[in-house]
Amino acid sequence: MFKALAACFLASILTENYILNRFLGICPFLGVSKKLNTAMGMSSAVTFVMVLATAVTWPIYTYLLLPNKLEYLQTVVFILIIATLVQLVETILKKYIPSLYNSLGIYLPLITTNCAVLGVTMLVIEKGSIDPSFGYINSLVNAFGAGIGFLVAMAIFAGVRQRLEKCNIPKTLQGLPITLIAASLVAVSFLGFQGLIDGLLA
Amino acid sequence: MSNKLTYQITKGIIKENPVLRLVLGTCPTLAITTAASNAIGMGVAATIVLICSNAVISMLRKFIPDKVRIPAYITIIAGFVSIVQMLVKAFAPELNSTLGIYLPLIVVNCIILGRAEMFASKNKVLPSVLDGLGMGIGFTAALLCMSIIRELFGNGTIFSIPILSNFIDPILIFILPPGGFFVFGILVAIANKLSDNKDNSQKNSCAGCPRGKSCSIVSDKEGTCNV
Amino acid sequence: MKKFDSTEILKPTLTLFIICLIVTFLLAFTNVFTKDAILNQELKSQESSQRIVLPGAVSFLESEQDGIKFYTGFDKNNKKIGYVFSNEDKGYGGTINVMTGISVEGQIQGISILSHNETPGLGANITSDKFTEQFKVNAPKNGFSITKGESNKNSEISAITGATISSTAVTNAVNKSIEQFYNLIGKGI
Repeated sequence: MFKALAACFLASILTENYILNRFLGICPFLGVSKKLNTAMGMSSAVTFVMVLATAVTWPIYTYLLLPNKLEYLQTVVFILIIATLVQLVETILKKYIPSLYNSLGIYLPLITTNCAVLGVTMLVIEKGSIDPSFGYINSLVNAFGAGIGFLVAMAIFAGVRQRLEKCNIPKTLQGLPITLIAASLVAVSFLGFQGLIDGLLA
Repeated sequence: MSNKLTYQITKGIIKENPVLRLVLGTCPTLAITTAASNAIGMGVAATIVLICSNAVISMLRKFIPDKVRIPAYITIIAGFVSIVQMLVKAFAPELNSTLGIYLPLIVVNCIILGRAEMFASKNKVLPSVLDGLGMGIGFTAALLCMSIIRELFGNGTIFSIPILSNFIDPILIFILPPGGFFVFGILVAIANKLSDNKDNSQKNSCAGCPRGKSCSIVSDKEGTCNV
Repeated sequence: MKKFDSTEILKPTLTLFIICLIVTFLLAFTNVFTKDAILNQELKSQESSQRIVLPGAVSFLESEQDGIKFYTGFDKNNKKIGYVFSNEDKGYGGTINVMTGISVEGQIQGISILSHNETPGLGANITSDKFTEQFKVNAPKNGFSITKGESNKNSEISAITGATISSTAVTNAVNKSIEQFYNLIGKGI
């Protein structure tokens, strides 16, 4: 049980990395990765919303939509839940914990339409439908792992970009193109993790 | 007048190409462009959603109160995405299995919400539909362009027809994730090179993004400019 | 304190509510319209892979024995001709699902990779005919073994170059099916 959860957690960070292997959440990856502290703030907010969204959408899907044969409402229901949740968290933080709001809250409006959040809530449902033993706890661990994976990729990439600032880049490649090519090289390094997880826990 | 309407279509294809010039919808662009047939499927699905949501949002633009604008748009878009998803499942199951999770994720494709916010909510129905059509074609064209390059080098085929595979071994990395970033980077560089005013595209990029406003709050705070 | 203005709260709420209602109604309508077609497609894709692994069978019966789910295939004269098993094993990029068809005589009729997440161009070659055709032999009682060179025995599977882990995973999944088959035969079903 514990081993399976650990494998699931590590896999969602390294081999199933949402940014570098599944291409979810590319916008913040390219947009907010110029400085390490913004990158960390953004990815902490994403991790928080991912776990919270999975915690809410999973029971709603399993106990409300599925028994009533309403699976076709999944997309609409999930995106509305995420949008409401993000708004709610933002309002609560603003009112009661202003210090946290200042460090995390400003990223929240950016997350509503982040495909990584909607992606993780849908992927855990999909995993659960293939393998029934993949339950609520696994889903939450997977969501948390996905968030940490997001954070790891963002942190590494922020470091790469800070180096890039000091480089002399040909004019045509300045800006977005060189950022994408740098991302490509970071993605190569994540390819190396494939096959690692089973070896680690075997 | 007709010139103006034609402009609504053509601007999305080259001048304001959503992928290469406005840099919107990067996730599906990178994820599904491993084969040219996927690009067509994704492009058509997104175009249908874009046209329908633009039409409906433009029709309702006077009725939707400003406060609940974004949730209302998201609901409408999610509705159309679900309809397209069901139709694809029923009549093109193979497309459904290759696009997988990226089909429902059209909901959060910034191109669609971006066009709703920037164009459909301010314009009449006909221009909005044409804008959706043009942006959809531009999106499909960019996807196709990228997937042809990736499929040709990574697999030696185009639309599964062998082209290069008889002469050289395919360069696998092109259809793996890093190849996606790399080809996209080169394409954006070429698009920048070909266009005259480079700075203009940077401004467009932020204005076309539905999150531009919150984004600028972040960048003000940290003193960074995004993308 | 601002004075409570009912229209200011009511109007947006009502508009949003009406939009949600209409969208849900439209979706329900589309669902009724496409439900049967979707179900049909799912059945068809399942049956078509069953037909690939057990050619000649026209109908399949789902059954369960000791917690193992399998399908019995019948030909057009309603004669039992074989069994279809689905098993999985861990590959390089995740779980690989393999469907195996075995005739009543113990001959493997075909295998089909139902789902996998292997590296395109390397591990993903497990779906190629060149690899899967190797399994179409008499099901060895002790299972198949994997070799990195040319296989010179029927019970040896030649691994795909550069994709030993993926090849082994498929072989393991087929071996599980073979074991289930002999267990089943042993019980005289």
